[in-house]
Amino acid sequence: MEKTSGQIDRERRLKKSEISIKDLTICHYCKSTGLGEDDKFCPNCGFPQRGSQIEMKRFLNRLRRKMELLADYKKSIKKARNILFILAAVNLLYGLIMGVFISVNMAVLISSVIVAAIYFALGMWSRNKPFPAILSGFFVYIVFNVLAAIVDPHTIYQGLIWKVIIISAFVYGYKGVKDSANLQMELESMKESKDLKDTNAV
Amino acid sequence: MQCSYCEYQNPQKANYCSKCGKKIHIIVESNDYNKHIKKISFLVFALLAYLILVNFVHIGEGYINKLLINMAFAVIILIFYFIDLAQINKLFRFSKPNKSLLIKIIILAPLFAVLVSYIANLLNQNFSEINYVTYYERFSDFPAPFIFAVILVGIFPAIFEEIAFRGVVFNELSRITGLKSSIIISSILFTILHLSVLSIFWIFPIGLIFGYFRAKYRTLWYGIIGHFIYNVSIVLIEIIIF
Repeated sequence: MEKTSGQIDRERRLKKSEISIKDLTICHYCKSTGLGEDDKFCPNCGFPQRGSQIEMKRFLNRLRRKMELLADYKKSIKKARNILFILAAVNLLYGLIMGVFISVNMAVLISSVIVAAIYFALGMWSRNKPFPAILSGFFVYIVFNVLAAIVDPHTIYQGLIWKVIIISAFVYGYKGVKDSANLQMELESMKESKDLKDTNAV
Repeated sequence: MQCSYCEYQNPQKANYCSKCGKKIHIIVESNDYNKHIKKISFLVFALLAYLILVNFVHIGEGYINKLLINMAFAVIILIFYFIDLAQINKLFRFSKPNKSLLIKIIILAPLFAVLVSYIANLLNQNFSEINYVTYYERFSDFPAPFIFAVILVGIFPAIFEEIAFRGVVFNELSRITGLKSSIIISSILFTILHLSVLSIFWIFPIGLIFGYFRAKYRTLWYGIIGHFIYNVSIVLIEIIIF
């Protein structure tokens, strides 16, 4: 029975995506050298060096999902950082409008500039140290809102949706930093090739 | 190294079992971030709730009420102190005091207080919108204003704020982040919980200095002494000038 063109195409695609390992002593994924004959999996990254095609592809898919997860964590960190910069800009704008353009009120202008500077500094700090910067940003935001509510209780209900969005961004940013730290280290450690001959001592 | 799943003996530095492919040792030790963050958050929100109550709810005039308000603050801090009793007690050790540092603190704290008083007075005069109430004025209805001012402005904050920020908060932060970050975050919290945007210029540096002392000498005493001298100096300057 002759194969249809669809079947031929599928087979060709499968053959193309097949993982072929020429040297079984070098890990296909992390390129670690010195894998033994008994090593079904790479001791450095866990790649099924002597496994079936399905196992190998499952490993690579799992890894891809982890990388996607890491990218998501980084996105939420970036969102939290952007929130810090947005808060800085909004406070500066508020200070200029309320303290200069509408009426001259130096106390409002100076306070707003200080608050804007705090958020901006935290935003810049989050580039190097996202965890402490986002955590501080979260607490600063909460306390400043409480401070505003003490001065004028009506501010509690003002921009409630924005407040929820900002707090959520901080919480997700914090979670992103927390979860990405270990995942990133794990992925980097897996990519790092090693000479496994040196580590064969049990 | 033995795999806990299949009991296969793997090379010493193996991350994964070469027989079953399972992870055999944790590449990075995970830290219980949530537990520490929760403790810091509880303290911050407890202090915020306290500040809201003090500002919103009319508790009544008179020095007994003011004393009770200060006592409530101390009780909140003491609750967190007893939760982490063993670790914070270690920070009360003061076996070999650094005499030259103590002399520097005794000299520089009042000088800094003079500078801060000058700046605060300047702000008060130039910006009518800022209604700065002196510490001493707050105790004018007390039977012995100076003694109560020293106790409630000098001793109380020096002990309880140091326990809260350089003790509880710093301890929790240092378990999940580096020392520098712990100093900065604890100083930020110390500053913002004073609920005064303008005072950031002097409270934040003070927080950084006391945080540095806490990190370097592993004791709260330098912070407590510095905090006490600074606060009492402020009260004395207010009595002399105002």
